[in-house]
Amino acid sequence: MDTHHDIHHSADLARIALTPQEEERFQKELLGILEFVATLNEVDTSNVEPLNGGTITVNKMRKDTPFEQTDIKKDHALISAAPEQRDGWIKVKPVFE
Amino acid sequence: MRLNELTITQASASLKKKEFSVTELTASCIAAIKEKDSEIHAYLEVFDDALAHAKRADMILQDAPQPLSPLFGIPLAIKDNIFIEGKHTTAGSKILERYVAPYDATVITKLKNAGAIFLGKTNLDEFAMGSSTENSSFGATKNPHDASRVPGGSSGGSAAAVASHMCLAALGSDTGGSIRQPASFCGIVGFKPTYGAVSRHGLIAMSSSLDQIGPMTKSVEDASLIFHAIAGSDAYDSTSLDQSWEKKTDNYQKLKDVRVGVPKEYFTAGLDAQVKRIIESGLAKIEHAGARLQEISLPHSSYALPAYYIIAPSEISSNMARFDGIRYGLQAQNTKMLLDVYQYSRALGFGAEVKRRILIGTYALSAGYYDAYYVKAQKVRRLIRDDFEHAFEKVEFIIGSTTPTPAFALGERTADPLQMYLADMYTVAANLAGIPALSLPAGSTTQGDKELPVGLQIIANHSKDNDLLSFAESLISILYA
Repeated sequence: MDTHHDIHHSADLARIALTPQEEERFQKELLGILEFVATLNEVDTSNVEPLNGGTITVNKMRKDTPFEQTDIKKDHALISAAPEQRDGWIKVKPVFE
Repeated sequence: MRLNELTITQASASLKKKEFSVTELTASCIAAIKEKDSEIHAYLEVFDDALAHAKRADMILQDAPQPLSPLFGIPLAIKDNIFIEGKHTTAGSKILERYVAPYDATVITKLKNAGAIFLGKTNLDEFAMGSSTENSSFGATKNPHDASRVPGGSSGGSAAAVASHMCLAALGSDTGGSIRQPASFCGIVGFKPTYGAVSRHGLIAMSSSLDQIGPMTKSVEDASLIFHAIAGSDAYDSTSLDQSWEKKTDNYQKLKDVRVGVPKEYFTAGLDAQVKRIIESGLAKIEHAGARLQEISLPHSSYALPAYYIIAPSEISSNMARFDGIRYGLQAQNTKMLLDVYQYSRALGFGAEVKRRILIGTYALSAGYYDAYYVKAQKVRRLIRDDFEHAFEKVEFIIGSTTPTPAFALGERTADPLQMYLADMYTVAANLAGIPALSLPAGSTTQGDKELPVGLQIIANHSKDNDLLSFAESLISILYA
């Protein structure tokens, strides 16, 4: 396994800029952790269905009814949490050069 | 006895008799914080409006013939990953250092309705990822029993605040042991309810299939009071269960013939000899009181931790994606493109353990590894749940140690993430299975001139939260007889 490539690729997917020192450290640690979790391979799971999630409830739906948002203060609180805003909108940097 | 040293039950009874005021009770907690918290560092923020709320509660109390709820006027501490509207919520992370919660968590709404007073927000491992509170971006919390040791984690601030009487009780959150393990290290009661018993709306999500909010208290009775105040279904958390948590009868006031399972896997290598002796002596007392102890097997016990360290990081990598530097929190400066904002805001804002878990999770979920890691772990998760189901056909409760060792020294495990993960070896299984578990102080070990608490963990079957609390309550008088 090429963990150096894997760490780099995972950091890329996870949108985290790692320093070379971090890459080296996490690569070592990831190897240790992968070795630890590899003990799961001792367990025969050939006839076992994966347990997805922790809940015993199934497809809990709410009514899809439109409503008027009257509490403008709440909207404002959400927008004003953004580091950069303009005229009640969240401002972002360009996506393309 | 100072007022801040009272349990909720004691304080509530006195408030009812008007022996002291809510203001006096709250002031006594604030005095304790001023006196001790510069050393302990349990709080990230102490609210300057707590006394004003206390005064208002006293006015309501004057006009009311009796306190409205057992939590009325009770000063509580809240783990800083739970929203209180208008207050900072940092989750112990630099990325949320200046973030202000825009609404109340459902548990906070419920506690407000019950008349509780909030003293402040408590320290935690960043985003609740850790077992010592050393991963907080704002400095470690110290164990009140020995300031050179950790309080456990991730709810270490809440545990230390309760143990040093800087509040009457606190809320924590438990994803793999984060309520029970620090409760054990600090000598208090910590209760993780059944998955879905308490709404997580307004709790900053870590691993959504495992997270649960619960009480950290000085007595089992207090844990029960808080649990009943915060439990119940919530339209804002679709995993919350539609069932009543009302206590109907105290089924376990007597221990005679109660069937208790003692898993042989919980007493093997890795369990500290002194801790083992305390748990075994507790078990002997329980048996002497008439309970029927039997050795059971939870054959997949040793796979709980490895399964957890695939499942939790996988969910973490997904939940942490929202911290993008755009919508809230810290944003990296001097960036040109959107991608830079993401990559550098997250690089600056997250600490090492958060990055580590995001990377493990991203790796485990990525193309080519998904089946080998994530699906495999989910299969083992089912076997772990099946182990408990089989055990609960034979016994009503399962007892073991909450943690393999007492509180370890600050800095002892920070260099090796795997050593840190081992602190949760007995607690993660209850989260994977979604079942309730509680840590109860069982005694203490002597280390030099310090007494370090040891917690006994009781695990019950799904939805048997009231039975668990009733049984734990009965154990108190036996363990301390």
